[in-house]
Amino acid sequence: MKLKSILSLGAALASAALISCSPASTPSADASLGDTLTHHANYLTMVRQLDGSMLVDVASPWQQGQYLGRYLLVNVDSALPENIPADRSIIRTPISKAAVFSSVHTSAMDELGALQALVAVADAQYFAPTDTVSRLLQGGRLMDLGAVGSPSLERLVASRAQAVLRSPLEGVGACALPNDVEAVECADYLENSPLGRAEWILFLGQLFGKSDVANAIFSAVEQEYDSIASLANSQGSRPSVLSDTEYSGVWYVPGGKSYMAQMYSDAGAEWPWEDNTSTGNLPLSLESVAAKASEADVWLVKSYGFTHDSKSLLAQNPRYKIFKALQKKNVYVCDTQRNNIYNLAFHPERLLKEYVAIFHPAVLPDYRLKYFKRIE
Amino acid sequence: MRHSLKNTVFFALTIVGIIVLMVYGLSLGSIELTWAQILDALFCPNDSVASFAVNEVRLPALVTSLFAGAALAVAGLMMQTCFNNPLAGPSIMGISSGASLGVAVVVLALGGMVGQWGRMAVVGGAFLGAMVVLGALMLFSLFVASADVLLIVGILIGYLSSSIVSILNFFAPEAAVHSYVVWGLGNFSSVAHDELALFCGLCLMALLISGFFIKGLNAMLFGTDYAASVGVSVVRVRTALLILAGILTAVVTAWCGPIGFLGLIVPHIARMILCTSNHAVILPATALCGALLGLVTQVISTLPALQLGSNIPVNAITPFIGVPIIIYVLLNRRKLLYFN
Repeated sequence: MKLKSILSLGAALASAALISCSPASTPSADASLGDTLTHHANYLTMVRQLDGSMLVDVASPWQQGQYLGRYLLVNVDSALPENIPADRSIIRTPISKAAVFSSVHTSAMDELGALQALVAVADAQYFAPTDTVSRLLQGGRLMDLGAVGSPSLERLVASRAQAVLRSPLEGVGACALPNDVEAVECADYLENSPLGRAEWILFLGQLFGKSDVANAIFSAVEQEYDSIASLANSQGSRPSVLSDTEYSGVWYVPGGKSYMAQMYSDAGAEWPWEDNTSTGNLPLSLESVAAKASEADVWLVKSYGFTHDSKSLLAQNPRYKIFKALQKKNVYVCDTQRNNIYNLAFHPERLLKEYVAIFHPAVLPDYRLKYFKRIE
Repeated sequence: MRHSLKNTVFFALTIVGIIVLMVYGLSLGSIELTWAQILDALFCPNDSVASFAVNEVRLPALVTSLFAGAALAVAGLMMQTCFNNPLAGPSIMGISSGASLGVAVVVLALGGMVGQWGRMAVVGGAFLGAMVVLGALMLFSLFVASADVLLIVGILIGYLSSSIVSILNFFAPEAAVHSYVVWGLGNFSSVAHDELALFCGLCLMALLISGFFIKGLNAMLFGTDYAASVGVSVVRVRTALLILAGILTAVVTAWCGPIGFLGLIVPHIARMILCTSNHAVILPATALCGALLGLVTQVISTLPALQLGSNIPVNAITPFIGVPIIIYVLLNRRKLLYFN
């Protein structure tokens, strides 16, 4: 054991020496350099360096071996390491002024206690009135940068943001930012597992100098998620589940290796498309969905700005009557405007609990549904 | 006599083509069904998935494509004759854009998806949007004598609608933009079994009424002066034709999305095959040919469904059929001599 530790230390020192001696080499977020902090995320690798700085790689989900961003996080009070490779962006942490484009990340900042660093947001109109960000916007404390697709660079500069936290899109070139504003690519929404996405809070914690809080949050999330999942999967039955609705001839369902398929499986449900290998959504016809899921035990339906009932579902498409879940009124609906379940990205255990309560009510007898409601 | 034989052969072959495609179309879908299962589903409907697929999905989609194709084609024919322009059609006159604007207001501005009123909100939005544009065109037609100017007004109204749609798109949430884009791809499977009678009834009614305007349409082929000289009230006939074409387009767009090219190309195909512009022949020929082409589009869109799990969008197919025909018409415009 002792020998192993000595060897590891030796390897780490040798690696560090190699980097400092050869400026052309690119330090990858390699575990041999220090502690790798991420274990569930597919696209995020964070490695603590011996000098206290942090190497962060955001891998591209679309191109193997490519990166959306490669960062070196250095504390604002520390000296910059020598020979920093050109492909790494240096971010001085904690960031004191940040523009954030997604409410998922502002929610996480709120929980981390880092909202004082938030200076600007995009798509301000979509923040719920109860959201702290809405109050800050009303108080004039935050700058509204306009639409995410084309944020106002003038306002961004006026906000004096040091960094912009944004969600990358495939094939869409992000807008160019002023030279002194660092783009932080938050590809968390592309993760395929709930804990993988939740782990990104560690990155946010590092960025805003709240790593201890972030570690505590994630550890609790991980522990609770695993314990609920094992409880749900210890049940004998696995009800089958159908999700979403058809629109204009297309019914998008999560692929077999997607985030949602993983969550349904962890919640002890059977996903009819679990043999599928896609990590994204599958565009299917009604016929196709009916063939696989007409006998599904539970149907989860999301809406925005209104709540469905059996009448409105049948008004939307009379052909939904084929689904056994609707016939038995075993349909659970969620108005995502009122209950923004998308903001639970860093708390998958809360959504998992909800799903387990739906699929296996006996497991959590005292739990009352918070986000979904059974139709009448 | 030769002409009459040619017409008879054309009508017979088109009807046979329609029947063949209807039958073949029943075998295409996202799940594999044997002919025995299809026949069983048709004649002994039950609660099985096969019965659902045949009676609730495939058959309504095929019938919808048939009526939508006929409706758009006849709307295109009336507009081309009315405006004496081979490039006039439902999408060019701004009526499709008006329907798109109506849907954009419902989907993009009124709360993300389609709201609690379901799909009928989209249908209603599309219909209302098309009627607003049609109303504007009617208003202009009262004091604009030139058909060309009226056509340009229609195109400009279309641009205006598109501009408003762009603004709504820009400020809409991602999910709503996605819903709107999906609607714009067009599909014939949106008409449910229960709504089929309403959809087909509206199309059929407008198609039958258009038959009463054959004399006026023929007179307008020789220009408005000639039409007036033979006792045709040009303004009244033009207004009626616009209303009919508008209703046909609005009904189809409301349920199926803005279907491109069918309205534009089918009248040309009918004229080229039958070598006549006589509406007594061309109007029914266009309706049948439109029905056939609608079915062809539906069948092509469903061909890869077994592998993909869903149909290819209709508007991804129609340009492949439409563009070569339009180019041919443009290059041979002098030879074709459809219009006076």
